[in-house]
Amino acid sequence: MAESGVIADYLEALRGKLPAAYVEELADGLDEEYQHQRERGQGPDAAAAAAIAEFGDADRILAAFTEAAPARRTVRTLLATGPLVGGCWAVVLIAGHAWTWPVPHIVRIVFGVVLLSVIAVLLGAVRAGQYCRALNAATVGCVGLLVLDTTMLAALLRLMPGPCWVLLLALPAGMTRIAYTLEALHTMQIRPRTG
Amino acid sequence: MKAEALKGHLDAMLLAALEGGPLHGYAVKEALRESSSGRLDLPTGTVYPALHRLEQAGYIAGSWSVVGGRRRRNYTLTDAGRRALTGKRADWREFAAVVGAALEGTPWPNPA
Repeated sequence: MAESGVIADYLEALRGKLPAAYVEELADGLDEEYQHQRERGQGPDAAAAAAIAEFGDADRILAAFTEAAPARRTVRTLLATGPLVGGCWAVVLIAGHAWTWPVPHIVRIVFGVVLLSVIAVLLGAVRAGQYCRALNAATVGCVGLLVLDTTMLAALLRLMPGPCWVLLLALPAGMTRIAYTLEALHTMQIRPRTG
Repeated sequence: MKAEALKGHLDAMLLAALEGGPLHGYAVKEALRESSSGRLDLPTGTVYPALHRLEQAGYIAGSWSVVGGRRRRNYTLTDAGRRALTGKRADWREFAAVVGAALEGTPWPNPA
């Protein structure tokens, strides 16, 4: 396709806001639409304008991709199940008298700050109005959550004074979230790049 | 027919368009237009996010090919997609029967 100015501008508006593979797919569809318009007897400029009109508003397409983004679904799931997993951790910590554990205050403070930051980032991902912003925020939130969950698991296994029945609930919950988060990171990061 | 009127039914129509074999995004849109004699003319760009949503749900599978030097993504209906399409067709028949009965005063079909 002789990418005319309007088509190049249209695709440029999508680049950087959607994964490159998505823009490549849209460019192919736009090319098909352009060729269709040319076959109907339109000149190059008219065909390009008609193809874009037929394709639809770029902002509308961006909004539809953002709404369907796996990052949004992942973050909603993590936020919805967060209180449940967090509640399990809290019960275990209380049952194990975690306030008596030999953990420096600074570590406890850093853990709390990271926890609050992860929640804020995940909420930001839900509210992000653009695919790549939602994806980036969700990725940061997922990585932060993985760090928190693995730290908590390691701390429990090392510092818990003895077997405790609530561990039977908390450990599977934590490990399930770690597995889900890893899978979600793969889905969010790898697939849009490789198709 | 405007895209807004199709809300809730677009997924089923996209799955139906892919029932005959693999298609790329533009061909899916064209298949819908042709099957409706031109009355179903969606903005082409809106078909792609919907196809991605269906792919994430596991109803269709995407793969790349190269056509005329340009990479093209083709979509194939999966087994889960065929089952979903069967369910959506049944839902549609019931929906159409209910609305038809309410609007036209036609008798409610006896399931027996």
